[in-house]
Amino acid sequence: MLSTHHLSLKAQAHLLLDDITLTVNRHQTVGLLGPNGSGKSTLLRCLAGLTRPDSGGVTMEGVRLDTLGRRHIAQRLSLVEQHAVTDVDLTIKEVAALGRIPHRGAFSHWQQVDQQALECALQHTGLTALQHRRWHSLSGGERQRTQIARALAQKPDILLLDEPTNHLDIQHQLELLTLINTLPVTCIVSLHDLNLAAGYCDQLIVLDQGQLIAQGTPGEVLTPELIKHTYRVNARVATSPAHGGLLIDYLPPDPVIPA
Amino acid sequence: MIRWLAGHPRARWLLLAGGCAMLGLMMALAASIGTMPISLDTTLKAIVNGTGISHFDIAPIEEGIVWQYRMSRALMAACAGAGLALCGVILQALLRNALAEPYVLGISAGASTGAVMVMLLGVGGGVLGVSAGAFSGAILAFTLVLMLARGLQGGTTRVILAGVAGAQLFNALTAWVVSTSANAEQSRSVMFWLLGSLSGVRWPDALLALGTVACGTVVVLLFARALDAFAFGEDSAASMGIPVTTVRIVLLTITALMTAIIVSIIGAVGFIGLVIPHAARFLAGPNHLRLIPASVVIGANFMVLADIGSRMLVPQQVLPIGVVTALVGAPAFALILYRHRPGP
Repeated sequence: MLSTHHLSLKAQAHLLLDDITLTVNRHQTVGLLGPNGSGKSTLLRCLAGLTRPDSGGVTMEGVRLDTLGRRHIAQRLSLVEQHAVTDVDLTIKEVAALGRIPHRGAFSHWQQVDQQALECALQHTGLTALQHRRWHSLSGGERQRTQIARALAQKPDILLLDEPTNHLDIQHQLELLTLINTLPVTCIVSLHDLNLAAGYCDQLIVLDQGQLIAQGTPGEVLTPELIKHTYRVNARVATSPAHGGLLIDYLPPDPVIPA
Repeated sequence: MIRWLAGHPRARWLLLAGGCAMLGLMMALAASIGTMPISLDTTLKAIVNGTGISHFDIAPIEEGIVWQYRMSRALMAACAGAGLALCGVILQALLRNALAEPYVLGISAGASTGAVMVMLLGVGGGVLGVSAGAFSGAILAFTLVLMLARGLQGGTTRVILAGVAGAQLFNALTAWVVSTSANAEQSRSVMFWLLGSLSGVRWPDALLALGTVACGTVVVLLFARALDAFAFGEDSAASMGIPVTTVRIVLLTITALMTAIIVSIIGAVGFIGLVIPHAARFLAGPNHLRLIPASVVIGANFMVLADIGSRMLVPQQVLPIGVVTALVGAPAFALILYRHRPGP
């Protein structure tokens, strides 16, 4: 569905992405993990076609992304950014309707297909009843859902989300990830919380200093060794007695032995 | 009431037509008022004669005053108002800054400097026209301000601060060139370039402005949806399929061009580009396909009204047009600044 081949990106002498080759399959929810500055956002920007890699490339269903026009990409792939800020006085419905832009001409009327996509997007995100609320009056969770509604109105096959759970309380984090899981699209979502990643993702990708460290199911990827290696944190990975899934316990750091 | 009407598709066209009709009436009114008052009836007849639709028998002196002097002035006022309001809409959307407009950002000041360089110092050796000089000045000032803004990281007000610095610099250069130039008295005063004036506008000027603003409006309407997509920034626009760099280059060039043509004819008139888009947004909402026509029509009406005001407020005197627009614009600027202050 979406894959990268030997993707590399440099900023000055610093390697942001180092030879990344990965494949994402259809209708999976893929978690993108890694410490701060490991290249998660940069990888998402490359996948969205916003940043051109220095070498290697991204292919969507076998077609190279850089041979497609921006608008073509936007009709099939949408991105929810980490911080969405605006001065414009828009309602939820108006923000979500922005997602129809790649499908509309300069002067074309609002058509049946646009209306259906919009209603569907609002319904999926549970915003139908709130659609006339103003953006500035929304809470962080509602804004995030509104941005997801906008992205869904694009009718994408692939949805990229950059740390969507940032600044949300635990209830809204769980709600948001449940929502992402039920969406009928392929999702690539960058996350910080390993337990949430284990609970909600089908596949995980781990980055560290621009390099791909691991890719696989949560059970394969989330081992104490990997957590120690990438996050420099001691952890124990167990099976939760409550839900049977993975449970990651963080342990105190190794005692420093005085010399 | 108007806001409610603006929500209905058919009423929108009606409102737009109403605005245009009002503009026609205002221009006729502007052409009948002056040191030699001419009745509205005679004015309308003179306008009909001037456009060549029909012929009425009226005094040639009255016909001359109405058509040659006052109508060209009224048309120029309307084009300047429409063009500057349009520039404000573009800049506020692309820079995502509620205070952005050509005057505040120093683009008008740069255009003035470019124009006086060509007009008084003969820069370009006669090959470069005044409009081309103004355009070069506008582009230079704009580039400088944007580069300075990029250097001054942090906060959305940085573009405005850079604009203030740019405006001061270019206004000082303009004032210097005009003050030290030998033939400044014969051409235009410092006051003209800093505050703007509609006196002495003739048909070729007005028609040049009309052509520029009309073309500008059509092109910007083509990009209306792209401007909508900028609501959440460049990356968000790009992820919705907007060719961000192309849109920016095309629209910022159009802004510089419209500002340059208008400034080279009537000097730097401030605050139109700031006040009108906000008023239009209040009536028509943030959707650019509606906001652009609304701003153009309201801007044209406002400027013709401001011109009438500048000739009526003080008996026997004509205030510079920029004084009138600043009297309305400066408080509006303060209000918008106040409303956009960082929250507690």
